[in-house]
Amino acid sequence: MTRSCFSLTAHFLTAVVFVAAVAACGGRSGAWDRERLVLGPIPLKNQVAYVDSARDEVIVVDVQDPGAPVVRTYAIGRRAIYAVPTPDREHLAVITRGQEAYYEGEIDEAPALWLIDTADPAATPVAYAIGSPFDRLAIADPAGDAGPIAVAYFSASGPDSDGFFRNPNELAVIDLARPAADDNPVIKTVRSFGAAPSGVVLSPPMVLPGAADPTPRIFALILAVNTVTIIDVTHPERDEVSVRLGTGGTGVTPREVVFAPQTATAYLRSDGASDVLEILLSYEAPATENATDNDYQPALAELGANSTPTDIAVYDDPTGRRLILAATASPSQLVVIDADSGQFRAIPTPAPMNRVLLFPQGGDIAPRMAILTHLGSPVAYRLPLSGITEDLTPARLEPVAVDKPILDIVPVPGQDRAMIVHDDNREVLSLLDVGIGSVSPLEGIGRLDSYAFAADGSQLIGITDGFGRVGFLDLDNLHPSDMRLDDPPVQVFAMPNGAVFIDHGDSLGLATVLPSTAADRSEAVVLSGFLLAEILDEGR
Amino acid sequence: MTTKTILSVLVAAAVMTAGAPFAAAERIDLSVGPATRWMSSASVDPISDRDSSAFVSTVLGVRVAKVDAGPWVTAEVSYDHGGLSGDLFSSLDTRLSLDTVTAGLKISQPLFTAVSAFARGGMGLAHGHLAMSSVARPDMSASDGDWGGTTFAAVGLEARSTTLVQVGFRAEVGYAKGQSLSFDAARERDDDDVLHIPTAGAAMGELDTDGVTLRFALVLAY
Repeated sequence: MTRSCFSLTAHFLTAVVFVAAVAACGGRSGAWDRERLVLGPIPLKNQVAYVDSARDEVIVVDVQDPGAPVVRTYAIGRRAIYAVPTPDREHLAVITRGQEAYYEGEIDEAPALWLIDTADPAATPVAYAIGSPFDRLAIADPAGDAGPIAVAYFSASGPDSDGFFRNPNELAVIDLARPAADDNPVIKTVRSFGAAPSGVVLSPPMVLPGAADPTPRIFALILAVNTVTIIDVTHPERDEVSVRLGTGGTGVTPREVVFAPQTATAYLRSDGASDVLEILLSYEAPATENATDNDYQPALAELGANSTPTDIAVYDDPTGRRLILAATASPSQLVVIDADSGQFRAIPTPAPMNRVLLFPQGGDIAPRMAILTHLGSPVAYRLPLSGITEDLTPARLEPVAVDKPILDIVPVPGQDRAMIVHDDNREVLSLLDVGIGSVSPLEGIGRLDSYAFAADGSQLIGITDGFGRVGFLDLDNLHPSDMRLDDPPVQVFAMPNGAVFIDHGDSLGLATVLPSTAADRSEAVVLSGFLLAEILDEGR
Repeated sequence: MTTKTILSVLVAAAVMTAGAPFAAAERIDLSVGPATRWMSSASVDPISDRDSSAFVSTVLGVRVAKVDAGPWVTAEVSYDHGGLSGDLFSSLDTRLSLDTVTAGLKISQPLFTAVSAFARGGMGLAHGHLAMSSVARPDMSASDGDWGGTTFAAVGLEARSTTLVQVGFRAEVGYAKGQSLSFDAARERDDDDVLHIPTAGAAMGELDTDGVTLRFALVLAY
């Protein structure tokens, strides 16, 4: 071989090595090596959402047409930490922590709240800069012409490793009907008396009696030991008001809040309080010299339970009168309180009660029956509500004996029935017919790890984790049926359109969709891999 | 280019290769060796942190013509098998296998007694199979395959002995371009004899396998 031959070969191999070196430059973004956390499944109106913290995406499985589920993805910010649907379940709100640029190519990103219209394939998520990585979110129904309002706040979990300082009394009020602006969100730090908030409860739309502004507005009650702070979140720029519930000694810890929107009143059940606490909001003209002064004044009152309530329920009777039922342990009684007059009637109970349920639930029909139970005992009590405030009308507390202790009782939507759970594993159940007072035992082969009631309340749908069947119980005649699944289920959801969505807990995404509770296997569809939807296109 | 057109070209080239008169052909070449394709598309990123995929390449060629005092023309059929694997989000194993069958022509020009330069090109079909599975739960898996047309062009050098049965070495650099492959995340099931609920796999998107290729091969010619 000649010298020029070696030279040519050497040149060619040099060129080959150069081409190979240039081609080898590349690798991939560190985004593909992130730690992955999937939030969900989160049931929405006729969709189920998953939030992928590694892909920075919301993945929605739309079962509007249960026979042909559609998968959509929506891009959001870095590191999702909390997600919750709006009350109408048509939108999903996601809080992302953001990130601090650390590696080459990364960009600083602030914490944000993302609102996604999950029913709209073309929707673009709307971002709101919330300033801090809040990890809890409360969302209120729309008030009047205004849209839903959200309050982002910190949980009691304490600071995480990513932060330096954390202000637990800080919160952000976001008007979800408006785009982000200088005045949206409004970041506030609520007045503190040494305690951090334990929760935020948003009122339904309420008209402030006597106020010059007749439009309904939403109030946020920020609960803390010995304190409730009230913010008019429809006008978040206005000052908040703090209501002291106790001033020392045993702390008063608010546990449960129910509202009477017609009278702008909130009722609190609190640990450490000897009565039901009533907070009545009334109009007070704002001070003209203070531009951010609010226009309401809270009045705190104790309604005569005369003992720490263990559970309360509020309803309007057929005459429109607001009544509060407060169960107390010592003495064992149910106190019926007329919220308008403060008059009350105490009905002795055979044992302390700690659960009060009203039937029928929801809708516009006034409840006719209360079910009282002491969780752990094998007896429930029916209490007809007709004439309950009249001292001369004897209260008919009717015992309903069940075979085993009651650990939980769950109303069936739209029905005068309640499901009774008898053990921690939800293996032993029974169904209480509230109208008749009968109890029917339900036998299963395993734990009821996840269950749902069909939208019309006609069926109980249940699954046992790891057992490849879904069970149905016709609540009208208690006829059971079940269907074999191809994969073990983990969670089940009943969708408003009648479809049943069964998630199999697969890290790639796997779900079985039934068009109805009456469907058989031939009508079912398994959707696989939806958590990888469009993942190859994302790299492009 | 439709798959049907590509298949027609493949068949024609194969017939041409197989049917070439041995006397006219003078030589049959068989080359086998490693190859690498750098798939530079970002669509490969979810599959692996490497762009380079390793292949075994096999080429069968028959000399079919010689231009007067000029280059040899060789009809070729080649088969490449390879792929790449990796992980995704440190929680999923990923595996792509790629098979291509192509037919084409090689034009080689002797430079010296034992060394020739060549250019080759062709077209054919590629089949990709993509599988993903959970590291913690390998039973959680999804996979799919797809066909697409592919073409390539390459240049290189070849050195071979001058004996009757020639032994040589080939090196080439080229570029492969093809149709994007579409994959659905279909559930993998082992129990084929069991009746299953109809399954729909979510679309994972399109994979672009275009890229620079580098091949080395041992050549055996007679």
